[in-house]
Amino acid sequence: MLEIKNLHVSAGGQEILRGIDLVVNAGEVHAIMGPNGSGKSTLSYILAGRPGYEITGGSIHYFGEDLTALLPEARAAKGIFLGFQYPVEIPGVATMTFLKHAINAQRKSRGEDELDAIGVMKLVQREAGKLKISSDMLKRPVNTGFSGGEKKRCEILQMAVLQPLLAVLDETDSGLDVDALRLVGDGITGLRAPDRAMIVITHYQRLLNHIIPDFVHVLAQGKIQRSGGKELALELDSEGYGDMPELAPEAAKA
Amino acid sequence: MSDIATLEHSLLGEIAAQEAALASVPPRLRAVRQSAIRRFSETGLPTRKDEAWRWTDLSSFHQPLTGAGAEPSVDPDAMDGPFMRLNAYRLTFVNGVFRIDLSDLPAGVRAGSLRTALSSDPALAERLGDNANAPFLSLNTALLNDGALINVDGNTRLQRPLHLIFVNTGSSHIRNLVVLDARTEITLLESHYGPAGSEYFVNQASDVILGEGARLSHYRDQAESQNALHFHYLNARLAAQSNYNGFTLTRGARLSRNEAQIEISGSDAQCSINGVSMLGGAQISDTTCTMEHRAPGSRSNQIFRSVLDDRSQGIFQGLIRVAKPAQRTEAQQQIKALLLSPRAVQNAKPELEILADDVKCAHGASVGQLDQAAMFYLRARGIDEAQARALLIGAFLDDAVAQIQDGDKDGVGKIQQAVRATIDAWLVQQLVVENV
Ligand SMILES: Nc1ncnc2c1ncn2[C@@H]1O[C@H](COP(=O)(O)OP(=O)(O)OP(=O)(O)O)[C@@H](O)[C@H]1O
Ligand SMILES: [Mg+2]
Repeated sequence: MLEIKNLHVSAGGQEILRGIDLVVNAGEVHAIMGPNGSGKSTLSYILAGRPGYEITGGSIHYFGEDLTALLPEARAAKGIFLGFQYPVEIPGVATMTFLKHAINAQRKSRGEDELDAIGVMKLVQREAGKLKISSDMLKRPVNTGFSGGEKKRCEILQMAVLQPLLAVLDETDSGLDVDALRLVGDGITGLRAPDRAMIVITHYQRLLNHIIPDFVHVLAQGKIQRSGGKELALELDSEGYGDMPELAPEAAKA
Repeated sequence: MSDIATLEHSLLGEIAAQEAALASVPPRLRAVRQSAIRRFSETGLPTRKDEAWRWTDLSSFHQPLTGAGAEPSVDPDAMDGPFMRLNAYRLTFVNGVFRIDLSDLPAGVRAGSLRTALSSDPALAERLGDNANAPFLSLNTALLNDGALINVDGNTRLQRPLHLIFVNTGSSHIRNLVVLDARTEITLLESHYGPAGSEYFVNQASDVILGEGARLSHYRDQAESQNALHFHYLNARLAAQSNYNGFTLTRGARLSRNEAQIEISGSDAQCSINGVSMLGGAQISDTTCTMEHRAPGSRSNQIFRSVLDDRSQGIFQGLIRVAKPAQRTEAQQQIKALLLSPRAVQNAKPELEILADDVKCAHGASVGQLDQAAMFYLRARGIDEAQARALLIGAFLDDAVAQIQDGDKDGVGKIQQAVRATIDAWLVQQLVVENV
């Protein structure tokens, strides 16, 4: 489904990703861990097509197609979903209105019929209920004044209604209390499917107790330094990156 | 001769040509018009040296300020604007002259030609406002063509809004006089049109006199030809407990100026004056507002939003003046502009002049660009760039649209919705054209 080869990315004149190789197949869940500033969010933005990053080397193919040639909206329509580490507040645009635009823009782009207001409402409310998101919250402007946990639940709601093929979830677990973590974990697990893949970026093992990953990768200094099974996450959780000097951020090395 | 002098010369010529006709005008009206002629002859047209005109340079305009236009065809079905499809009484004016054949008047309310009303009731002339610092108002009185007289007395309640439709091809000095007796209320809509591309000058003035507890909802759609000049001078006086709620949608004209002189002379009154400007090309729109609080316990608010594309320019000058007796005044003013192009400009000058000590006043002006983080968030969800921009700009403008108080009895929010639809259509057109 996704094939990243020797990917190099710069921003603001600084090289951030320095040769990433990653293959993700349908049905798989990959966890990416790694110290702050190692380039995890940058990788997620590159997959979603955020402007402002320059690909200086390597390639990304998605279902055999050169992903880098597509606009962000085209990637979304082809099934790529980014759960933002920092969801953006959009004052003045009601969450329900936003979801209606997103759902129908993607359907239209895929040549499917658009849903009417009632169709959208039913779909959204069904998924919102599972995530304990009130209909009052859906009337409020996108992410505006939402608590950290509410923003993250809302990201999962968007994923649930948009039904992506490749979900990249960037620290969807940070800032969640225990109950919210369970809701979000269940939400993500519920979307696991043979034709769907996920890249879950996290700092903690606790989310991975809910969503058991097939692979765990450690990203540091812009490169995947180690890959393994779910036990690698457990190891990192108890030992940290301290035992892996080659993985520690610059400051810790000195 | 400078361009200003040329313009002035042509206007004085027109005044001279009309002066002979003044002999047949009733004496009280003649006196008012003659005094306006004197005033305009003394002050002349404003230049950038006048503080109130420092950003709006008339000398760069070559549109003729005088001359009658060809008789335009009037086809309400072809006019595209927010109010055209609302169920309303209709008063149509062609080149400033009332056309009863194109109108649908309400019963029980004085509504019709101001010119006709002035000849049968010359005392009305004294209700026409005057201001030493408003040359275009003096010019309007001097050359007054026609306009609407609307007077609602205590016995009537209109179930539908009154809609004034102005179609212009030539220069016109339109004057509206709106007098609401105590505790009456109406919704007054205005639409301004002209054939695409035509050059003309509309110099409109409105005198609004609100009695105690009266309520006027006053919404204007300015969709003049992109080559026209459109000036509007609103002169409003609010008695105790009265309520003025105004909104102007500016989308037409090469140069437009919406000037408001509001005098809150009674206590516990409310005045809300708002607007949205959507400009592209080389359009310039100037909003200049003086809000005078002269009595205690009144509230005023002003919310203006503009979206500026290409080389367009927005100007806002707003003065809130709170006189000594106007204790417990609450006044706020908020101006925000969104620049869609690096060549677009917004100038803003908010000012406060407060002599009373127990007041709450807030004002703010900001100029910004589209939030790129929000743009990416929307696009990452599949919303294309043009649609994402339209959503963000629409939300930005909506702060001002939401100030419209729908007085329409057969449905809440119809006017707001209609205005939103016009804004959305503009956005789609502006953003799609850009992407080509
Ligand atoms: N647009 C940019 N311009 C310059 N530097 C950038 C830009 N974006 C990211 N960086 C830098 O790249 C590095 C990687 O950032 P990134 O956000 O990808 O890290 P991360 O692994 O997600 O960290 P965290 O765990 O804290 O979320 C950081 O040092 C960051 O400051
Ligand atoms: Mg990050």
